[in-house]
Amino acid sequence: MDDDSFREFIGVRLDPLRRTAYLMSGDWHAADDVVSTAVTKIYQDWRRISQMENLDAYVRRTLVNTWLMERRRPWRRERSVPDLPPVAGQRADDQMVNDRLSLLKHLVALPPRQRAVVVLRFYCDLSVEQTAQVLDCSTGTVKSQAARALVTLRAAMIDVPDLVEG
Amino acid sequence: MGLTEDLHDLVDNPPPPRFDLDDLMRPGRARRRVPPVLLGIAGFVAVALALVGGYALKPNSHPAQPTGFAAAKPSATPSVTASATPTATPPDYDAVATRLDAVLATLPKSLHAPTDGSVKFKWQAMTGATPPVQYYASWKYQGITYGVSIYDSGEKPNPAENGCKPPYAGELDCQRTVTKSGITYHLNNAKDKLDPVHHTKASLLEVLFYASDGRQVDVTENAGDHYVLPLTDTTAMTTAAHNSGLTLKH
Repeated sequence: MDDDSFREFIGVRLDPLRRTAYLMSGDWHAADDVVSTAVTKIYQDWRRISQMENLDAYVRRTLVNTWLMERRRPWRRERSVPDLPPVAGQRADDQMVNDRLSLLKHLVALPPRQRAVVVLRFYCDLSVEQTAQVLDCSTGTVKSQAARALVTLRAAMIDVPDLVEG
Repeated sequence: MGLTEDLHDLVDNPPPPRFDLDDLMRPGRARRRVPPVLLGIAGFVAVALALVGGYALKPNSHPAQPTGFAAAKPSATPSVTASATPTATPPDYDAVATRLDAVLATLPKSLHAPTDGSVKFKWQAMTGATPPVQYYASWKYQGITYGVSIYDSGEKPNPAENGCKPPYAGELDCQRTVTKSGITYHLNNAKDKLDPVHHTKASLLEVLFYASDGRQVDVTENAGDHYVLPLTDTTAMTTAAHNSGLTLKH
């Protein structure tokens, strides 16, 4: 029965979790690692976790914490990418691909907590309060981290919103 | 477009997951989980192929894609990781992969790397590598999946950083050796730090070589749920990881 409820709960969330993890890690391979680790953790304690009121916030927190922990491993250490891969032929189609790569490159270059704030606020569409709950920090921290991240992204010519208040 | 839309665009068409929920939920399996870095190369290869295949199937996206990839399942979808693959394959990446193919024949025989050309190195975009690609090859022999992957981190390894210390190595038994050529990690799951059962053999072995020139070479043996891999296998794996041919030169 526990397995059924877990499968039902997590089944519909796997895809959003993978996408969130990808935006944080910048790599589908790493994203799957993070999601599988987080899902395993949740499964191991599902009986207790399933009684929580805000399950989604807990799951997101587990995902973010797992990612933060994973990236501390030396063999996971991220490094900034100096240049995009060389493109042999530049066509109109490629511009969109390169724009996306550019965003990803600048996103993964952000400090981890700033990156998490950007993903949670602007991809997951969480409020400042919800983001603070997931990251286990104050709303002020969320706002300041978001502001710094947006300044960085804006400097990189990424189209970012002017207001970050939640 | 705004940031929110851009982020959503960035993750449209994700590749198929390389894990299975049932597998994660398998009784007794969860506590024996090993760090994700050790999850077999085989899945990695399968996903990578699906990525490339899916990309070829995207209408009007990449007419120059080799036709050999068209046999991929239609369900495979492109990803941004796949998008990181240059639209027309830069010849230098393929040239490096082709040169690496020849190295397979020079690996220790106990790794059973095919020498008939049936296994080839492939590459995919990798954020953080310099250049941003990773090369990998995988093969099976008697139920064991062997894998070799390599990329250039662009940085010298830091001797002060010990990946065997908590929390890095997680549940795995870990040994670290520092030499002039770099830092080598030997990891195995024979003595799982969470599971009270201590096996005499491992189901996963990994040798990670952080070369002093920035290359990171990963050699793995994966026997799935079967604890059949003698720890002495890491000797040959170490030899393979230190193989002088495993470079990213053209």
